[in-house]
Amino acid sequence: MKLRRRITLRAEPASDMALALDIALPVNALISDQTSLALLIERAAAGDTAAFERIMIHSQQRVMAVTWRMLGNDADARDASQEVFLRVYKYLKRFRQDQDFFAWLYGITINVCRDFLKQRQAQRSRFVPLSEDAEGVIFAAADDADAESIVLQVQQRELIARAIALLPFKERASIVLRDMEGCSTEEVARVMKSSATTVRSQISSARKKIRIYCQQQLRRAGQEKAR
Amino acid sequence: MNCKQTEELLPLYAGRDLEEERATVVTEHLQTCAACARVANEYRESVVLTEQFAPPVFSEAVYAGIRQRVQREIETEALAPTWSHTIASLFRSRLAWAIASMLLIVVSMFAIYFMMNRGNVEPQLANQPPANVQPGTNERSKSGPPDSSVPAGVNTGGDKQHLARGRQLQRRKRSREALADRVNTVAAKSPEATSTSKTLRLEIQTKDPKIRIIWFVEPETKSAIPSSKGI
Repeated sequence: MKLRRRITLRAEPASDMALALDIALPVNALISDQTSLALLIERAAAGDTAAFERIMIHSQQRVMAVTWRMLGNDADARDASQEVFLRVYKYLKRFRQDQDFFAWLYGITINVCRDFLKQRQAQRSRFVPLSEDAEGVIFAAADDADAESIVLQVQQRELIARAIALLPFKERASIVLRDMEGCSTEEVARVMKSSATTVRSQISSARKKIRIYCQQQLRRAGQEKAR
Repeated sequence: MNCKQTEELLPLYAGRDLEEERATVVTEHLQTCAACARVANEYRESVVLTEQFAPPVFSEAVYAGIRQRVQREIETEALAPTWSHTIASLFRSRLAWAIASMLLIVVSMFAIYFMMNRGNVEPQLANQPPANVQPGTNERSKSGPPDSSVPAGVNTGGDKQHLARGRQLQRRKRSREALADRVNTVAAKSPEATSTSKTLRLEIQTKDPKIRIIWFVEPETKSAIPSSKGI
């Protein structure tokens, strides 16, 4: 019912402000100005799917990066990203302009990832190694690095992916947001709806586990090489 | 600060998450302790690896596909009929009105039927149990004409006032006959009915409180057609 009303609004003639925004922000352009983003959010909340498209373009890489790091494979990351944007559209009316949009977006992304992981746990699906599911993926290091360094990078990537996959959900989310997305501890706490102390404790525990796992795997690899 | 305390702080120290004062204390300890310095290096390496754990570069086609699916989903959801729309469309259709009219007619017919049959209630037995009635009375009621089954002395004051309603009377007569048949069938099954020699009295209270049918049966006329009086 609500969505129908929103689409109807979209059919109305564009206002002067919307026209101005169209000129200022051509399709595929990244939104650098916070005011422009706020306007886009306002328009998208009113049912403007073109404005929502631009919000998606602006935030798709961040969303995809978090879902990929949290879920560990491309297929799930794509599905999760799609679900994230659907939820964003659904709850955009609840977004307050005084909120940080990306913190809000990360919150939704983490919730979607939690649902996906629960679903996966219910299906008892195994963790898909990165190398098995690389359709549509372009590895950044492929152009300018020699074969040995590529192999090393892939191995390191898999090592970290497996270490992260072993972490409990909250620790995983904290480490992804803090170490990989570069959020501050306070920002992570806001996204996770937790205290900074708790987040710090989760990050500490996650780093300990990652270090132990990496050391174990490297030691094992060294022993196998020695044989 | 000892090694155990330092080790606890190393994960946060490696990620530069410690406050300046505590970080300085840890740095001082690491300068003097080789074991802790080695562990700190391991933490630094794993933190660097974690920070470098970047997702692969997805092609624009992947993102475009996601956006397209999202837009399609939004449009589908917008076009999907809601409950309120379904109910509203149901009420708009002519079929709904036809169904409603038919239901109304059926309900009205049932109501009329029940109103018409309300007075035609079978009379109840009162005072006397059916065991006191002798068998054979049903033969008379069955063989005789319908009017002769009603005794002459029956108090039918209420019926006299409604003689015009012949149809209703006929129905009452039929119900009385049916009741008599039932009473006699029960009496025939009872062993007491054949052994007693006293005058038997049967009272029937109809629904109308003014009408009560009382039957007397003589034991001498057991073999013949029973002569009875209605009071």
